[in-house]
Amino acid sequence: MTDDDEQVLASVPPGYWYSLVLAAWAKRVLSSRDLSVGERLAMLEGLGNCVHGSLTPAVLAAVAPVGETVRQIIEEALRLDIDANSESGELSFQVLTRPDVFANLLRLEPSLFDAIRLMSRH
Amino acid sequence: MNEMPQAAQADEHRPGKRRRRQKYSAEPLAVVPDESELGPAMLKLTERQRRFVMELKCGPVGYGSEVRAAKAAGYGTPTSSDNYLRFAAHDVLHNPKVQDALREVGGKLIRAAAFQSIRNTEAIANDLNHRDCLRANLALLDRGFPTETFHHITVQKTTPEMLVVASEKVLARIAELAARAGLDPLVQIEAARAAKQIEGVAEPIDD
Repeated sequence: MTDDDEQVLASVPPGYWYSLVLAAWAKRVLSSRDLSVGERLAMLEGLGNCVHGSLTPAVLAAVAPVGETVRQIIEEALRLDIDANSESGELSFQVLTRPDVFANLLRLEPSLFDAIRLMSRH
Repeated sequence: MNEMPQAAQADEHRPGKRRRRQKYSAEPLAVVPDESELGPAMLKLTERQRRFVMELKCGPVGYGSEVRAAKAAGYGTPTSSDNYLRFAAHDVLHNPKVQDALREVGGKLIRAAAFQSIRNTEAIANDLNHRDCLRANLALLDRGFPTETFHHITVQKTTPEMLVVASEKVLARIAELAARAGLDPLVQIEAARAAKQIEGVAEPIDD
């Protein structure tokens, strides 16, 4: 990651990083055919609710579904919240937005960085 | 004889000047029990917070009682202003852990006071000349041999999962949301149509 890339990353708050990661994960889940109609609708509504502030519909559209490895990483992180009975998502947030973890996610899913670059222009 | 300075004498006779007397003494009134006697909520508090809770429990009730409890618990210094102490009292009183401890201590007080209430009611019930004798007897009878008992049972019925049928309206919404999120609407609609669906009409069954 170049210095410029790091500056772009630093210009976007970690709360948005987390939203982008979850959006990319939701897109992956939505690509599966195992969901019921209700689950699919709820997930799409959730994706739509991600849009706020700098996370515009264009940014959301730029995020691609995550691959299998990243899906597993994200689900492991989300499991921390489930195990701790935490609805706030605090534990998964702490893990997924850790600079080293997020840098790896960006390396594995370049579309996340494209979205961040779009956000930094706002 | 009269050693009072002139300024003080003048103050005393000035009609409009109002001096507010300090309502309560800030002397500690409570003793914090040993840790083995404290409940779980009290155990979570700091030493000073525990003293605050006990001072509130044992001290006078009414305006200024929180500030007195804060002072007695050791908040502030001898030179702290009233405003500072009021702020400190407000701050500690609204701490969620302190609130839990107050509920815990208050609950114990209520439960302990209940025995005294029973004894008082019994004394009134035995005093045939007391004007509330009949009422006290009825209250005791009602609790000892209730003719009617009430049970409040809350039954919450939930479906194991959200059941949504892939109607045209739902599919249109799916397409709209998918397009907004940058997903292919046709793929999403196709997946929704292919999803397992429940056919039939649900009917309530009387137990």
